[in-house]
Amino acid sequence: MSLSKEQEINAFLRHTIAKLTEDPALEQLLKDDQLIQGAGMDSIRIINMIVQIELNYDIAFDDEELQIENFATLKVIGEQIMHKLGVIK
Amino acid sequence: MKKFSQVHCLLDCFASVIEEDDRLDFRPLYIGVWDAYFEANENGISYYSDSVDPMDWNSKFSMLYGNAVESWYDTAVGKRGNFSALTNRMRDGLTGKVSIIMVDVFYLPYSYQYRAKHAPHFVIVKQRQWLEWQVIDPYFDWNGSLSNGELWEAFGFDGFGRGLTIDTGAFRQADERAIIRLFESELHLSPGLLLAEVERFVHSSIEGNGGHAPKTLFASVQEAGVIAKRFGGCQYILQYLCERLGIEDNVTTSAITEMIKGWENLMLTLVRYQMQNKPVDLASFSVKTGHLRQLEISVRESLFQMFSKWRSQLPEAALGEVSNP
Repeated sequence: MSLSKEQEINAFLRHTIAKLTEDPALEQLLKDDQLIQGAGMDSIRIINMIVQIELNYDIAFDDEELQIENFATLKVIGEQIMHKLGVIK
Repeated sequence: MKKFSQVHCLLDCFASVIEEDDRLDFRPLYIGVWDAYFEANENGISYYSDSVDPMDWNSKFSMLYGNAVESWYDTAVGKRGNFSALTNRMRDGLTGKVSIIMVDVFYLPYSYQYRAKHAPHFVIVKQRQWLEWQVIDPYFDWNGSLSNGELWEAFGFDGFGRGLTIDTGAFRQADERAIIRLFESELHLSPGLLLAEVERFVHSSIEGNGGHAPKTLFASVQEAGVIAKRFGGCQYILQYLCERLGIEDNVTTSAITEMIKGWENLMLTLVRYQMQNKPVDLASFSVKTGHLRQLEISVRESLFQMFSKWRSQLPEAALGEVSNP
């Protein structure tokens, strides 16, 4: 059974965050509404993650969108991506 | 009273202790925090240095709330001797006394800088029970227990340390005259140095690197992001003055929020500059800093006007020996 777009994005984010924090367990353990900063995602890793998202989904975040609150949790980031992709309005 | 997390770790500890006493208002403690000392040199921006002495905050605390703070850290006896001093002070869970100690965030398991970045920080130690310490960290909005081993490891920073004990029984209500004196000495209309120093450093680093951001750029200025959180103290002062004047000021509240978010955005933009392999648009960077400067000026002007209005409404008797503005 294929994953929905939302699930696919969530899985991509989990994998990316686990890789950036060098903590493989996060791929399973990170909760959707957990603050990613608390899981070791500092400013550099957050920007790294944004670069990965932009490359993977062929989307772009403007400088003005670079706010921690826009990339606070898996849920929030997923919604940002879905908006950019036009999956949700 | 609405709390805003993450302004200044030592002041947030003081405020948390004061807040437990219903008679007291912790907000005046934050007067001037936005201009708190930081270090800027050819290596970048730092919120601490060997030469920075937080004793200034102890004096401010005493000026407002009485001589309740005792500084006991003894640089002559080293980490072991000072940890023993802390243990002895907190041995029996003394009622009415808490300690505030300097720790290294690198060793705090609940911090997102755990095992990632060394930096000095302050936490409240309430009491020790068996081999567990009850710790409150208002800055990270955390409270819980740390084992004796964990606290020992975290205690002090880079061979240095601080230890304060606060006797809550010695608190007194902040005197209005003392608050006015603080406003007069700490509230300035001109913008602080932080933005100017960050601009200067970023421009010289990029111009000196052929228009590209050096790979060390963010590491050199990232603590400016921590220092900028001190602007959050403006919210407490705004709230305090609005209450005195019986008004609301949503415009200034929004300006402070926008300023704090603007700093967050500026820091993330700098990380992006560093990662992009292309020339940095310094004109666009200057637009951002220019906007932040305007916000800071407008917030300072609003606070200054409110303070002047409040002061002009106070009877002469309440002003005592306070000099005219």
